[in-house]
Amino acid sequence: MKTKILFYLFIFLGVTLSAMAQDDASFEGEITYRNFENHNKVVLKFSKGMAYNGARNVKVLIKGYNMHIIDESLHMHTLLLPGEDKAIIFNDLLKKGQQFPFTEYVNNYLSSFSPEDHVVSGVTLSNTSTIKDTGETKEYKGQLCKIYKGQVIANNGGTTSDIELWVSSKYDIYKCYWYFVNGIQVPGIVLKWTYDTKGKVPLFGQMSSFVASELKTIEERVVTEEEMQVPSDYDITVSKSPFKVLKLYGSTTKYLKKNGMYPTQIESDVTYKIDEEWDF
Amino acid sequence: MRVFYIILISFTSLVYLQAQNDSVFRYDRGSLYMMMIKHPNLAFNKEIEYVFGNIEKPDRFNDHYLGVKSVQFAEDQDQVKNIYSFIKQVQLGKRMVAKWFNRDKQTGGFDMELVKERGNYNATMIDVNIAKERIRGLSLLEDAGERLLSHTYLVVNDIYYVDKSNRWQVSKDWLNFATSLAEPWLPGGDTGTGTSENPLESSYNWLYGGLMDNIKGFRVKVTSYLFRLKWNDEIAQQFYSQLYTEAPDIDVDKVMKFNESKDLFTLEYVGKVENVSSKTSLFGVKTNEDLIKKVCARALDKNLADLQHSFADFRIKAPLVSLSPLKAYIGMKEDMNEESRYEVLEIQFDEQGKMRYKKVGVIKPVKGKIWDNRYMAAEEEVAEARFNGTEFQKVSGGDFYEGMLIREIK
Repeated sequence: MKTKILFYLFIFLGVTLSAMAQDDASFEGEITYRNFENHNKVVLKFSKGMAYNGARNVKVLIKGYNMHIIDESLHMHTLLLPGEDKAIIFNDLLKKGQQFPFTEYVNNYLSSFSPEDHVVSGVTLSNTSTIKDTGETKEYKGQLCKIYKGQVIANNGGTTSDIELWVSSKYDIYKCYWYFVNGIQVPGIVLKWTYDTKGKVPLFGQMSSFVASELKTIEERVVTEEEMQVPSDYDITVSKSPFKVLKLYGSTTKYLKKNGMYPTQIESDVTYKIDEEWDF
Repeated sequence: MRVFYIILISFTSLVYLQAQNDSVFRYDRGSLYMMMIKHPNLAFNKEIEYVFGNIEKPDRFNDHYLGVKSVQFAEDQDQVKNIYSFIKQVQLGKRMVAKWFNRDKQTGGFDMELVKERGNYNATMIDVNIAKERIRGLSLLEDAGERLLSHTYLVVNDIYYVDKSNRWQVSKDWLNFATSLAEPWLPGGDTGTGTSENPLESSYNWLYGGLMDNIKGFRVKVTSYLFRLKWNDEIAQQFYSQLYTEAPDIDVDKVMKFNESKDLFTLEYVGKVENVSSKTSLFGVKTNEDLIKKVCARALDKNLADLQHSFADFRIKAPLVSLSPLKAYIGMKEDMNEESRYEVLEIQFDEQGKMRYKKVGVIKPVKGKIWDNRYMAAEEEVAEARFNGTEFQKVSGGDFYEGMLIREIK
């Protein structure tokens, strides 16, 4: 039961990792996003500080088939190295982290919005997705975006997510990028996306998360080898245990709060979101 | 023939007088921008948001809509702080002023068309070319500031469904768990929606099972936060002299200064009211949309009325439309009851042409003659909905005439 709840939380929080990289796509560089996040009390309570209500800054570095996702707000890194069969989660303040086998990590935590079923601990979890190109286009940051919308019912009906993505085809991408959007198969870089996920955990009530992510910058550049490595002085434990990841988040939250660095402590402005445009 | 001319002249005068009264009444409306705070994590959020976007705007205010109907905050523990921060970040005061002076997004130029329209100024009265510093009718600009701009309001409505099911559901989960009957991963309990613009059409939960259980008890809690645009002589002077520019001679420096101004136009918090919608009659309700609209519209009207009870400057005025009986087009929608009292105001103009009100009496509604003008009252087929206005009786004063304005006394 406890494992299921943990697993469920990871899915909810959209812990993002990498992908199977197998084509000749070519984007190499840095993408930054700013998230608006709003989670209900149940999610906040069980997430050990991973989830909070406010803004989150995320940087994505892509080099070849590898991807490095940096949650700048929590100082948490997710480094995906499919060629080495490694997925490493670490914190740059605590200088410690955890290493998973790549494929297992992808299966367990990166497929929550995938249209395909996936296997977790020998159990097949079915996903159904209605996400498709609406035929509508909108411009964002000077790029023309195709609008994708739909609903994903995941984990044998356990969660329902309403999703919208604004996708630009300006750059070619490796398929590994799909895992940044939790397995949604998009033909380009996502400039804006929202997911509104609801589910129910017996005994604990409804879990609900709304996240809206917007691209801030995109830069094609050479990503150095050092940027795709864990610094040598970091203490990395090899383990498949989700509880250890949760513990890492718990330690991170504790450290940030103690030092007045937790995102909700340092935000000077209230985080808001509007969907319409001002007339004046 | 002579009789005909007398009738014609009397009729013409009456029409002129009525037109004047109507225009004075229009002139005296506050300008209101209504928004709502949405809560995607709560049940019926999409339905409520949809309904709010399609609800009729309060008809006794000028609509000062700025294009954004709803806002969502990441954290919702202190909404006054949230709204203040939002106002500051999006520079809402500046946008309100931009709307008042019909700012052209491309050129940055202003004009006085909306001020003229809402203030009922004619072209001669407000022959003001501020850009060329040929200001005539300065008192009218002051008047416009005092009567129009300083009565610009923002009402932010925090609306959410009053959900009584959650505790019961958790208890049920515990019971199921205890008896090993629980389905371990239950589908989400929300009103699942598709991609239709109208969530009330696309949600099959609303069309089939479970519908009536929810709908009969559908209630919302609405907290309405009232803010007012800060506008005084000092701000007006700065605006007209340093920022106002109009076509065809657009002053680029002034355009830039307006773009860069951050703190000149602000809103001040007036207060809030809070209500839970009362039990709603299902008479005349044919669809789920009808019901949600009815519940929300009435709750919003109730809050607007309560804001007027609480804050004198926000109170609306309505004209007397007949003398025998004394009658005005306000009623239960404005939360009128038998205890309500209204002052009767006569409009006077001073030497500078500025308008002033003089209280000339007090009236109260006649028992059993209060008009039910609430949303969908006619569909409920209640007798009071057919009154077409509330009848009043005099408490004090006298010599009332049609077109005099009435305003509620606290």
